[in-house]
Amino acid sequence: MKLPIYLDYSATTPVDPRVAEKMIPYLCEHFGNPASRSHSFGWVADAAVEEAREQVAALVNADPKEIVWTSGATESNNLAIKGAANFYAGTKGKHIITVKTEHKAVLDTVREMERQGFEATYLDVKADGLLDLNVFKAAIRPDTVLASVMFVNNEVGVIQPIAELGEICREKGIIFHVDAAQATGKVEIDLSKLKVDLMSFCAHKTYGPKGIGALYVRRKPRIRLEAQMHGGGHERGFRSGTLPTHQIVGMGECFRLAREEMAEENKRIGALRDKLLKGLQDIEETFVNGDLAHRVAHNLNISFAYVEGESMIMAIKDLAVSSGSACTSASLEPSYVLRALGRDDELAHSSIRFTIGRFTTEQEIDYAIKLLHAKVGKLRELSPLWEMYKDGIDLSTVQWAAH
Amino acid sequence: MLANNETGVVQDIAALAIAAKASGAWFHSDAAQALGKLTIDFRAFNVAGVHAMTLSGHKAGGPKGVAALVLDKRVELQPLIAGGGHERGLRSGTENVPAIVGFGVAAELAAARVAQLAGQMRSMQGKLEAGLAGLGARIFAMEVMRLPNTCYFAFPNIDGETLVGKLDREGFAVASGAACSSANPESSHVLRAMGVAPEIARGAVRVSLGIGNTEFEIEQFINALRVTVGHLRGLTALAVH
Repeated sequence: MKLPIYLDYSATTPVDPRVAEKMIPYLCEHFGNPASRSHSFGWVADAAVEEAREQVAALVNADPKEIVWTSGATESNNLAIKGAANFYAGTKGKHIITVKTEHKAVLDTVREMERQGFEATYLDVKADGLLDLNVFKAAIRPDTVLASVMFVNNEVGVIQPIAELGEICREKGIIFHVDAAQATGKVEIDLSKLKVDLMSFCAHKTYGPKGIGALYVRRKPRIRLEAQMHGGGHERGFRSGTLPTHQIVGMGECFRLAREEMAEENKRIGALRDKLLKGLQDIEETFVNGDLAHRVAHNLNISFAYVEGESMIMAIKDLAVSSGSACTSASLEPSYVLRALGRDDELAHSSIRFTIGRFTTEQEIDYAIKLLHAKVGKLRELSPLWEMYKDGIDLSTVQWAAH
Repeated sequence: MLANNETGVVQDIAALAIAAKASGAWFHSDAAQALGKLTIDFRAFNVAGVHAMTLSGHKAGGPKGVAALVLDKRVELQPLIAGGGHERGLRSGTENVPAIVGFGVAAELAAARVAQLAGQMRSMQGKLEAGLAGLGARIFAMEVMRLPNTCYFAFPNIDGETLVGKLDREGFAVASGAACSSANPESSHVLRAMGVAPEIARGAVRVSLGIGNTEFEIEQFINALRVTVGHLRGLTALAVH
């Protein structure tokens, strides 16, 4: 077994070797610009791009014409929210609804829209991380133009009720955007049934390469966008710029594999996750964050009370995990997602996200369980808070002296 | 732009930036086509008054899907893509690590080889253009400084699209106008801006050379062109009479 063990598949996944193999010929051999219309170098690249478009569309049961290539989910989210809100602001209004537990790619974009004169409502979630449909309904205003709700949360892995939210939005005439970066290959997505207008995807969370993503833009009923990147009119004017053929081929292949293998794979990964959960539950004072039933199979987010998350990460260096999402790991703020679930700062700080993937083995999970038992025990031995807790002191009643 | 993608014409960016500086304007230059073909000294350009420069990986031997903006620290920008604050808040999104590594290596190789390669390409360009002149082609912007790898030409009364199609069947991949707008049947906006008559502009063909091309290929290309152009001229003559 090789150390460290990678248990951070929600930050990024390795590229599946089968995907890398398909990409390589498009770097040195079939290197043509897909926009070159005058020779076979261009035609070969263009054909590969269109095959990949079909593969991406197939995973989510969409029409290939509804898929627009981007550089990743962050760009897709920006294009969807800014593009649709700006296009429809004049006819529908300037109010946007989103959720406090969204990824920064959505939250920062909505903040930017506020700076540009839009109003935004950031909805709370329940303690299990799920959005209450009545809370969502109540937030809708006559001038609501767009709602953006993620499919699967990146930190706690809960699956939002996208089908129901879609029905509400369609009935009220609100454009519905869904960030599905964490969902592809994890949950079934059928865009012929879901009433979703815009959906963001990326490859690198689904065993494809970084630097490539897509935005689904519904054709029936047709959704229009104001382009955010200009110059050449590629992608039917939605997104200009030379298409990176090899990246696109990689995204197509990784989505094709996901479609073929996800049912089987999620069973295997779910069993490993359940084993990990069972192995950690007998550590005292541990709390699972987020609903366990409405959750993707590969995510386990646990708070180890009286253990500080950062010192925990240092202590379990053999495990590559994260406390909070990777995007905000540099900051010492407790996870805003866990705060939104109602966790206090202490528990939010002591949380670890384990995300299991295609290449995780049972042996690795066994090792992780053993290591965590040892390290949590050791860190708690050093913790005065743990000692007080063991002495039966209710820490919430303690008056701390400032120095 | 530093070098034009169709004609290869190299603008005197430093002089333009000095002029812009006089009025206090920020100055940006798109150097996508120039990287690896010209020696680019951003520090020197910056002193002249260039504040921002666009570079692209895939025009310089690196992968598609990665590019960079060289930016004077004094310039503040409003980011176009929000979400996480990567790249000092200027461009959010998970970095495309393999492509960035590839771009880095391509840049390193370009820096080491640009002088030598430019010399080789310049020599092939000279050979190509001598051959073209012999066949009666008009070469655009021949009298000014151009990239060493680019040659933009037209034969009077021969449609560029048609010529490019015939050359493709002969085994030569060239372009009529830039790839980005190849779907657009209008004549080149670059040539129109240069005041080239539309009937000449419609004949425009761009040859752009790279590290893999040889002098022998240039000879073969000229031979193929001689036959093809002769054939097309015959057809044109038939149509006229």
